[in-house]
Amino acid sequence: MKYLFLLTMILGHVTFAHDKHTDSLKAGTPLGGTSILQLDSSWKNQKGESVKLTDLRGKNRFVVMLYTRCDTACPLIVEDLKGIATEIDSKNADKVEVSIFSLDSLRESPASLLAFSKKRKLPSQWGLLTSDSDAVAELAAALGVRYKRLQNGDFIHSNVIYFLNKNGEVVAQKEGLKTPRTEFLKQVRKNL
Amino acid sequence: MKKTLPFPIAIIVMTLGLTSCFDRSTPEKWESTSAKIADDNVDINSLPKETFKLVPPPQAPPPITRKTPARVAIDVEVREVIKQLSDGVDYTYWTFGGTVPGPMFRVREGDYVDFTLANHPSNKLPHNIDLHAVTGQGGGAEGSFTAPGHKSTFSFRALNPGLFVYHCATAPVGMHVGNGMYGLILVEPKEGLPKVDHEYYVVQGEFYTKGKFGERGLQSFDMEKAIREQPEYVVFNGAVGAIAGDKSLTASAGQTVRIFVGNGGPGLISSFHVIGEIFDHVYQEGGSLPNQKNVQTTIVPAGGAAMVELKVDIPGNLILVDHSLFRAFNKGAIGMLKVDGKPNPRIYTGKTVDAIYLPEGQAIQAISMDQKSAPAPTNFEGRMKAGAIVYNTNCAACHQPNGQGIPDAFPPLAKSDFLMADKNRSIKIVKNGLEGAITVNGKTYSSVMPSLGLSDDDVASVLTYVRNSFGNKGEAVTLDEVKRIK
Amino acid sequence: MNVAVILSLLLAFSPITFGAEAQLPESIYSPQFRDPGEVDSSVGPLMIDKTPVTNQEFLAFIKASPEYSRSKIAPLFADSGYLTHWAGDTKFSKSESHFPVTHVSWFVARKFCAAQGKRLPTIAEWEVASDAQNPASDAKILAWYSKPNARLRNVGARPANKFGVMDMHGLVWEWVDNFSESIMSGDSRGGSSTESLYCAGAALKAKDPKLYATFMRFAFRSSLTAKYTSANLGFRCVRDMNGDSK
Repeated sequence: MKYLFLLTMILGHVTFAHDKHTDSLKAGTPLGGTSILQLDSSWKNQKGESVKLTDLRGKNRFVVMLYTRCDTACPLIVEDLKGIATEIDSKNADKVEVSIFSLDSLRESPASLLAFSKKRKLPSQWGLLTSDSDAVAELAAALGVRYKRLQNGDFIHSNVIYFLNKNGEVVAQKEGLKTPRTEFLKQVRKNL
Repeated sequence: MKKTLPFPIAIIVMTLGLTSCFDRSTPEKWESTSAKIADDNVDINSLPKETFKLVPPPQAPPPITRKTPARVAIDVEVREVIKQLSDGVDYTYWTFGGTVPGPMFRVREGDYVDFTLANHPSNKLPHNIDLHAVTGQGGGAEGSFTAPGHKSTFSFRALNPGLFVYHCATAPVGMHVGNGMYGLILVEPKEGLPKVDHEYYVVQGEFYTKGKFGERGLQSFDMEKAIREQPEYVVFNGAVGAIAGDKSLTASAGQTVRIFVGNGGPGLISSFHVIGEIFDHVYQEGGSLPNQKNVQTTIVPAGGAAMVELKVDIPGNLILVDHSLFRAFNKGAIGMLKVDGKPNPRIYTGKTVDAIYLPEGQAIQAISMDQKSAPAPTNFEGRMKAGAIVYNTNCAACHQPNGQGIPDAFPPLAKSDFLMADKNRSIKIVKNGLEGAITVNGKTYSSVMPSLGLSDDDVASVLTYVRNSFGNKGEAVTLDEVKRIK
Repeated sequence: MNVAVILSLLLAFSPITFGAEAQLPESIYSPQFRDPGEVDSSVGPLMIDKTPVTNQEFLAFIKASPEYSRSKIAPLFADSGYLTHWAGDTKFSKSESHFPVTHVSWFVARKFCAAQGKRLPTIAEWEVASDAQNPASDAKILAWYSKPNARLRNVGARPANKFGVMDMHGLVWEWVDNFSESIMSGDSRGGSSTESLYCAGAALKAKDPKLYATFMRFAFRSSLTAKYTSANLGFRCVRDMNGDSK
């Protein structure tokens, strides 16, 4: 009995190992196994437009999660991102898009996103996005962003810049505010 | 508003300041071995690769023979396992590599190590590792925090030679260490260590169990006792008797032995001593300098180490202890190094004379007579009472107040087949001592029982006592019977 | 006392009413690990599953949503350990029907709860409902945590706690919705490494450093990622009192 059970377990393992492709959750070619776009959530950008994660397919992308009321690390991470984007874009015809997702589902709005974009002088083609707490939780979990809303409304959160390929899979990341860019840029360029 | 110093005083102060500057010779340049390696331009990617082979304690991995740095891969698995802590006592150990201590690691100054920690999926808890040899965040704890069913890898350069502790550093750290998650890593100096005949790996640690010492069954960790630093067990290599009896360390007379000694703690400092020998060299606190010679007892800090080297000159059973004696005799901090070979009476003879001692002078005799209690009555109760006193004074230290003995070290007297089988033999042993292997209740003991120099009268009392206590049923032993045995 | 023993014996051997919930009244949550300036908060009232979700209950969900079956699930949502204890997509050993389902990830646990109109509990809700704040339970829990590989058993076989909830301690670890808020650095002895990693890096100051079982739960949660699965990790759901999830 035990032997039979073990055998079925092994066979089960083998079948599972061979078949890791997801069924397409929508019509069209299925996304890759670790693509975060599979989360299929809906967001609003700084212009008030509705954006679904699946709409972001097709372009290489830098992704960051922060919140616009943040005074300390977030401006720094944005500057870091600007510098990285400039370096990459200047040498590549195929531009990399940028998406900034807000952690603050309660207080963020298209208006606050727009104000932040203007204040930080962000290129107008960068997308800043907000959504409900479920969408935020799932995106953060998929990327591996850890965050916590404090009682005063501020957030503690990890500071990471992610690079996603055209299928929405994370292929490189830069952790922390003080780490040098060189390793990250090398990884990014490999995937362009 | 601060007042400035009066002018003359200011001059004096300034002069003093300047002269003291000139008087002091320029400070020596700071010697930092780590800086030399940290600043070298070794190309990590071109270093030859090696996989480190793990060996279980008390074995030490073999000395390194290469003369250049390498890139060494060390892989170790964390397992939470139930094993024996003492006779009839089990414990849930948390281990590196399934043993306490975890396997000893050995690399060379300047090596680049790729360290992988795997956390077995059946474990309940996350674990990590802090190696004291690592210069880096948390000694590697940051880079190795791993959930069950996962593994993590981090790399480091061995910048400093020396003998270092490693241990798990996941909260609550004292509990992870208290459950056995520690070991040693040796970073050999560039020139290597002097050659010796034997190398052994011994790590002391405490166990804080809910039940008292010896209480049978599966014991669990007691946080209260740990905080109070009151362990039930203090042992070498994770269990009572782990390096005693048939698991003793071995050597031959005339050979050299190096012991890599560690102390995982978590609480106590060890006073490491080998009974019957003296350390020729001690690398105090596991540093890279053999900075002391001819040492009897060396301190091993909690979370620290020491390297001792000794030439074992004559055969015998050398007993390793923590010289805080109640830890040795009542909590298990005892081990053995058995040395075989030909006895050498020019170094040690053992007892050569056993004679009557009769002090001269009536006055002296009178005093000693007064101090001595009245001769024991020869009836059974009298012998039992006197025998109990003799026992507790002379015998209980080794055989324990309840006659249980210490597993693998001192045989029990309780329900002892060996004791009860031959009355004359038991008299002979108490009078003359005993050396060599004996079998008691199915277990072999190879310890040394010294002759205690008891009077025949005391021998009769104590043997009456032990042969009728601890579950033994015998009869009295008379003074005549004792006198007849030489 | 005897009644409780008899009842639990009955529960162990009779088909349990699954989906049974207990009510957690409005209660104070006094966090073990406080962020700077954090004060006590309140949780509830809410309904919480009396027991962890079982293999049987989980099977119903898989049958209704086959995209979450073992052979079809995207690697984004669960690692390769997902449901390894099952013999196939919809098959497991009959003796394990009422065992808590394990080897499930956070994503899948959430989907299961959502499908029932419920959600995962937050850390605060879970800690309160488990009566963990009671120092007396800490020592008992510590004893379970120190044993490796304890065998699973039917849910609901042990007496309930004061809220009528069972198996919060001593059976499996359980997912919570905001597990990622257990922000401990990999090395929990020092905080400085989190400075550059975390905005407004909070120093973790334990309220009562002697509640070691709680400490270990937080350490365990901080070692998790959302797609992670484990032999010792299951979950249960909660429901806000007005009937739908937040």
